[in-house]
Amino acid sequence: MGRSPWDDDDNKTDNVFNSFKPKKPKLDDFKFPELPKFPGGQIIYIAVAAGLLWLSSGFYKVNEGEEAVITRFGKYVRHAHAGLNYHLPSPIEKVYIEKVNKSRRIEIGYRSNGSANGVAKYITHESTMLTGDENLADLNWDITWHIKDLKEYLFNIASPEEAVRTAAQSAIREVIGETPIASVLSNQKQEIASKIEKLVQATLDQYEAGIQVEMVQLLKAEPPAEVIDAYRDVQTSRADKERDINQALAYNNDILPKARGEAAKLLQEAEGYKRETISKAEGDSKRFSLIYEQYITQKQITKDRLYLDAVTEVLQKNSKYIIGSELLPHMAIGKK
Amino acid sequence: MNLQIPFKLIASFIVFILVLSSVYTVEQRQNAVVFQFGEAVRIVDQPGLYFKVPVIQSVNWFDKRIQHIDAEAKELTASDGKRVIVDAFAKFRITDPVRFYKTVYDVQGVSVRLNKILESSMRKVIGTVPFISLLSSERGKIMQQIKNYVNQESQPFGIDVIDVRILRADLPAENSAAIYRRMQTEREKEARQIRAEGLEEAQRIRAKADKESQIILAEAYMQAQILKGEGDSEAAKIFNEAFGKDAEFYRFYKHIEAYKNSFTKGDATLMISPESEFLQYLHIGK
Repeated sequence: MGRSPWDDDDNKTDNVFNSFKPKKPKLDDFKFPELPKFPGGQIIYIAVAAGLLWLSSGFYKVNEGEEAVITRFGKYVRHAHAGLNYHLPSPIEKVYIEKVNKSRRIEIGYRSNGSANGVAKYITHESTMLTGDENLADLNWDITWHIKDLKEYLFNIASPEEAVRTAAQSAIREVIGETPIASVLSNQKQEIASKIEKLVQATLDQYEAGIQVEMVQLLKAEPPAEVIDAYRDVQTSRADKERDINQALAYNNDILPKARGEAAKLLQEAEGYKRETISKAEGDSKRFSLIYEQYITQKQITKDRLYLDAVTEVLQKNSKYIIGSELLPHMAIGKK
Repeated sequence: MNLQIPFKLIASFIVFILVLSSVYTVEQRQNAVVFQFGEAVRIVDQPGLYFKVPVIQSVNWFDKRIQHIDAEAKELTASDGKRVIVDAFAKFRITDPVRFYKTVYDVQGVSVRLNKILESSMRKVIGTVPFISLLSSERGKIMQQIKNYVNQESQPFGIDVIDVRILRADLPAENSAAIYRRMQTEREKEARQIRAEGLEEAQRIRAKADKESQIILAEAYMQAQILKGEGDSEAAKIFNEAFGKDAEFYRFYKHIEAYKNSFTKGDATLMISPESEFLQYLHIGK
């Protein structure tokens, strides 16, 4: 046992040989009357102060969105909710506070490392998986979850986050493993995600992990990098097909109105020709008929007049030679 | 009187130490085993404050929560001879801490043993099913079977295996390359077909357009010819009616017209004989 000043003093007072040293009795006499006061007064104050301090250490605050579980000597006793709470101080009761409403996120196939919407790195051994038709797909997932039952969450399962992650990975591979790649990459994302969500929830419920899965989200669904060009080419080929068809439709839209225009033109022309021909015929026959009326009355005269008018007109407009047999020598045409 | 103070202090200190070392708590998430000279004498499976004989008895705590164990990836052979890389995990809980302590001592010990058991169980079960059943709804049953085996064989360790789940069931890397090649060729096939379909459709549309435009033009031509014919026929009828009155005069009249029309350009040179009818009144050299 260590020697305290009081032990020393007590020994001194009981010591028969205390008279050896002349100074000591003086010191003892000086201290003796104070001794009962010292421990009796101060220690109680200190003890009371320490006790109060100890008791006050039992106050704790639970924030909105948090929940607390209190254990007494390790045994669960009660829940506490938001506000100022009290528990019996340290060795007796212990408080576990968790943000039960907080949505927690697990990333599978990639890690964002906290950045809001970036992808820090891809983890291909997590993201590449076999589909039901023995193809490989590259998938990134987000799983959000929150604490459903804090007591279960704290006391039933070690490393709950790990549990969610592995349950999710297993469920994802199980579901993707029986789904053909086409539906994974295209239209059935929602159904697949909700199937996985159910499976993860069932697994976690089996563990009584006190965890509620909020959402399973398929973020990225791509064929693996090795074959992505071939997949892109399929997309391109669809565009090519559209383009070819559109070009053909454009041709169709170009050529048909033109043909109809051409047809309309032909018809109009023909109509025009018909009218023209008939009108001309009518005009010509009318003219003939009018002259004929006059011809009937004076046949020879009309005939002669028409003939001479025509000859006059013809001869007026053209150069002419009169060639008679007697005339030839005098005119010396064709001879020198 | 003076002696009592140090004695009380010492005595109370010793009592305090003894009380401290005879009191222990078991937390909600724990089991405890009380050992007496190394022999397990009591299992405490309810949380709370407990007492033991100080010095002689000691306490070991065991986590009774569900714990996780990863099985390393193993290359196994399915019943159809396909190699498959499987990695799995197990969830277990310590149910009998004494047995657990005796057989495997701690979590590390159990993880080594469980890993072996997992491997052999997976070998047993996966060896009896074809690879393709891992990619089907069979997977759940397979996992259940593996779990049953693992549970049986891990009984002696005082643990309860709650769940065994397959994480990955992949083909080895060489097969992945083959899969990639197949995926690639399948896509190429598809792309080609789509392009060809595009061309086919385009050609069909073009041909149809050509056909329709040809039909439109041909019908228009037919219509036009009919119209023209109608015109011609109408004209002929009109002419016949008019000219039929006097064929002789018509011939004369038409000739006159023809002369006028033919010689009005002034590019003809006419040689006229003095004996012609036109010059019958002109007497030169007579």
